[in-house]
Amino acid sequence: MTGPDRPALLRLRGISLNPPGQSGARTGGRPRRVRHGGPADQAGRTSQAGRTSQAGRAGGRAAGHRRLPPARPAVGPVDLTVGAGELVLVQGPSGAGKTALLHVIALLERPDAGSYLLDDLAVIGLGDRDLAALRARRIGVVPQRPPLLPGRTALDNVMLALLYSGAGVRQRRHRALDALDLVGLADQAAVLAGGLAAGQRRRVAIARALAPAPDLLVCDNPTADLDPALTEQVIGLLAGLHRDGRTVVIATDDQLAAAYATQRLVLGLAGPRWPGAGAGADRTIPLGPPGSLGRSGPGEPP
Amino acid sequence: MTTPAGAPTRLRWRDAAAEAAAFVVGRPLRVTLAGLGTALVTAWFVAILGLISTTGGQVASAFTARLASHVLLVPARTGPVPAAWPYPPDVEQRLRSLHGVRQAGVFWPVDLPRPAQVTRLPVSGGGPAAGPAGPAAPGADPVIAATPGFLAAAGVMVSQGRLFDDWDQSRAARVCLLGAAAARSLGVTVLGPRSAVYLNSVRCSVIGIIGGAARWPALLRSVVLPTSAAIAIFGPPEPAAGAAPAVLIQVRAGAAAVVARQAPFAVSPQRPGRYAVRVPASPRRLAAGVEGLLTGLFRVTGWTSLGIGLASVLALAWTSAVGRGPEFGLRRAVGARRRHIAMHLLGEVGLLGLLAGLVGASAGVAVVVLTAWARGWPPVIAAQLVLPAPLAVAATAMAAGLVPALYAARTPPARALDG
Repeated sequence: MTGPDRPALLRLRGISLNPPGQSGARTGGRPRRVRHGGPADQAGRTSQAGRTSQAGRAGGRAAGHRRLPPARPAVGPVDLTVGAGELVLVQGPSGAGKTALLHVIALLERPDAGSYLLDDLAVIGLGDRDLAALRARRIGVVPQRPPLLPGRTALDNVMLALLYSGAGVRQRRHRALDALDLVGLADQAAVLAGGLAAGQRRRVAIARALAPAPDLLVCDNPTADLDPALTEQVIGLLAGLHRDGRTVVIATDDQLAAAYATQRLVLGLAGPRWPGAGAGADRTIPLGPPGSLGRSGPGEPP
Repeated sequence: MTTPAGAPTRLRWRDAAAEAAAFVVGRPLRVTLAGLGTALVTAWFVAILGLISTTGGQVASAFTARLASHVLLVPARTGPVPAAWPYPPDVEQRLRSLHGVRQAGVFWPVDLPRPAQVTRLPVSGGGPAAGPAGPAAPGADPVIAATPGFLAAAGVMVSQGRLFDDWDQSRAARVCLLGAAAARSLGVTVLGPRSAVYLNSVRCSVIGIIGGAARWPALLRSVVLPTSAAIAIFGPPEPAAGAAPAVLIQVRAGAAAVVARQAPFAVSPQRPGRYAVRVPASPRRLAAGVEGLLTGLFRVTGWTSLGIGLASVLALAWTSAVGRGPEFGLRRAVGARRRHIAMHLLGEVGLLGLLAGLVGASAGVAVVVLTAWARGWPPVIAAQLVLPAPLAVAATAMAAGLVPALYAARTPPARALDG
């Protein structure tokens, strides 16, 4: 909850991410082929005329690859302010742009429009060096299907988050073990990531995101593919982190998480043309103080 | 350098090396498959070069053994008929003083007065020879007059008896040596104090039987007597009849050409043109040809293998880059800069190249050593070629990995979330 006593950590104003083409199809993260130089692509470029942003360049180059990365998820103009210590839920139907918004928040994608202040620092114009520094220290990301290096141990995977911080090996190991302990996996530190169960993989990913002690934890659908027991475990873990004072942004439709949220952002499906979609399609629902719905939320049927 | 976003992230070389090592250890199958081609080609290359030097050394030593070991000095055919004795008296000493000359000795074929007869028993009244062994065909065994120096230069070995020496020579002793074949045909099998042959009824004691003459094998079919005795019995040599005295010069290996040029001057500084030198056909050119052929053949295969090796290194470099988008994306998502990804990949490729080079070079050396061992040859491998081979492979791999590294460095961090 933003307030005078709680300075804003994130300020997003009019953030939007265009789909690569103007086909209007929202691919929601599935791989698809883009005809490089085709009319659709040309249109997309025209709409980004003059932009030399990192994301734009990466997208242009990506079109030259044989197997394309999934088309960039898109999101309409979004305003969002997150205060320190908040737990924010990003909700909406599939394809509404939850993942895209999280990509922008986690500095993984550069938005096509809008402004983004992280601790009063305008991050949109920053270069690779500064973005890498912010990714390494300020923001922890838990992707929807957390990629772990399969041939490495859980500890190695967590230590990876500290590899580029400049810390020594001993310190990295110490902090990684602390993070694993936080998610209750200290005893699994030496297990190869390939041998971990789904819930454990998710927790290792959370530990990895936590290891650098970031200001902000971003979780993309952390309960996907998990059974109810594991879902409760992971949501409980995130809620506990929030209770300990961490700022957490979660994209999830899980009703369980809603009980702990301080703020809920619901993204609506925009019209067929993204650039024309207004901010009215989205609404921000501030909730009460943390845990104010905690008693009734989890038990209620959807 | 601190920016509003904080100190830049960094990747220390130690960490990059550790990450590369973890990659190699963590994916043994993939690493083996990727490095196999490179290792094989390295092994092939090292083995080829090692085999070139090993067989090259072998060919060289084989041909060295066949190098001309003697030259022949004869009076020149041009000009007036040479004198009966065309050399200074100390011709042998003069030649021996030449560098590269081991021994030198004069000899000539003795022209027996017709009808020439070499028999084991005295021939009476010009009738047919008689005797238990029967006479050899008249004149069948050429008679050669030689100095003791010639015997040494020709490498004469006796199977029985002894060689004649300076003492026999100085006294013009009527002694002779029989070549093994001549002795057989004359029926001389066992030497005794009374063994003798008759050269046109002139008795000569047989003091030795020649078992071998390395540089003048024709002696095995000859009767050899000291030059002094030959002159005393049959008179001086007759160059007009084609029996001019010649000097056999034994030379050190490889010195034949030089000695051939110098010998006429040594014998007669004033008139070197009076002499001609005959050098047996040297196998040197042939040896060089064979070696050149071998080297060329191996070199072609070597360069071919280098080409294949480059391709395999490129494959190795790309193998470590492709299909790892999510990993590189993840690394970027946790703070790696583009250059860190490139460093990381170069480290991996370099390590892979180093390992493949080490394995390959070791295997190549093993092939050379085993081949040489099987043939009983000494293995010859240039250390300055084998030792840096792994480093060269690593450097090549890193050079080849530059493009894949830049490719990987462009991985957008969002690739981490593709799952």
